[in-house]
Amino acid sequence: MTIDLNVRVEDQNDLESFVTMAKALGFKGIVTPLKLAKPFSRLEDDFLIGTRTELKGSTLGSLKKGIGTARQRSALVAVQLGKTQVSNWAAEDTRVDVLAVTDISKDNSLKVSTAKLAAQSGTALEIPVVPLLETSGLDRSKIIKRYRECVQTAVTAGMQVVLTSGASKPIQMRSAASVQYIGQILGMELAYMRKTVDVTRSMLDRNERNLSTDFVAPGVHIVQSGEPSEKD
Amino acid sequence: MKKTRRRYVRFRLFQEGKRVNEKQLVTAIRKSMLSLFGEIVVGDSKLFLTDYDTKSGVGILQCSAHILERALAAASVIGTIAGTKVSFHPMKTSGTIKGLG
Repeated sequence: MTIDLNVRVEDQNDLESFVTMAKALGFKGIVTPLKLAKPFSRLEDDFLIGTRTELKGSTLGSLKKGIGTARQRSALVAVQLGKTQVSNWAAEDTRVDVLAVTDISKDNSLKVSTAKLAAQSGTALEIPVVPLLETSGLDRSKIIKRYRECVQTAVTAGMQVVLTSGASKPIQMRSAASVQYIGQILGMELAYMRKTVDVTRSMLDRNERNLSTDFVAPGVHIVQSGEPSEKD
Repeated sequence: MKKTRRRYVRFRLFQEGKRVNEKQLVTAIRKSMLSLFGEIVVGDSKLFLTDYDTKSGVGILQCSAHILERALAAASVIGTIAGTKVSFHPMKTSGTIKGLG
């Protein structure tokens, strides 16, 4: 089940064109920052549309304030890779799903300490592909360099890396097969890239389970409910 | 001279705007390969379009087996060809055209 975790749908009216493109590329679902009624919704053909929340804030306090609500309302919670203090907190917090490398203009590289914390808590490093499509030559080589450094640090520390399209237009989306080959440019092997499909799926499955009404706490679920019988 | 093994890839090129022709597509892939991997890889690539339908964007690309992954990576990062926004989608790879079905 291949799912693109970062499709930048700006308007509800554009959603259909993104879904059509995603289906043509063989995806079984997309996750988008668009505000939807439910964190997880499914179309008639079981195509998944998940909501994504990107926590932004310069201070740790503001991020900590928003994480609880964001977790309850989203299929995926992302925090931008930035200051070490913020990144380390996000890497360690199990409520955060991905650390996203978004601002490529700044030198916000992934620290080894952050990657080790993320590896322990299961937080993945998200790399959007779209900056590679919009640039060429020297500009692209700078992005590739930064991405490769982040990937190498993450893989060495045991942190999972996921590639997303980051597409703001349907034509910017890339199929799972294409993304696998792009991953090789960034220093990931094909076998590793194939594994990321399972990681993405299990991440969303876990979040969907936790958001269901039967979930009480990790490991505690309501199996059966109803009125107590007369014998009780 | 040792015969090089080839790979054939059935692909679909999604396009937004004016249709991209065969020559423009091959040139764009070669340029992307040159930029990413250098002249030696392009020289060794033996990259050709065996078949290509400009309307549907479906075609068959052939290249040397040992540069297949680099050729597909180079094609996948192409965002625009002659002003047309594109998305390259490799569908199936085989050692023979017949194997593509």
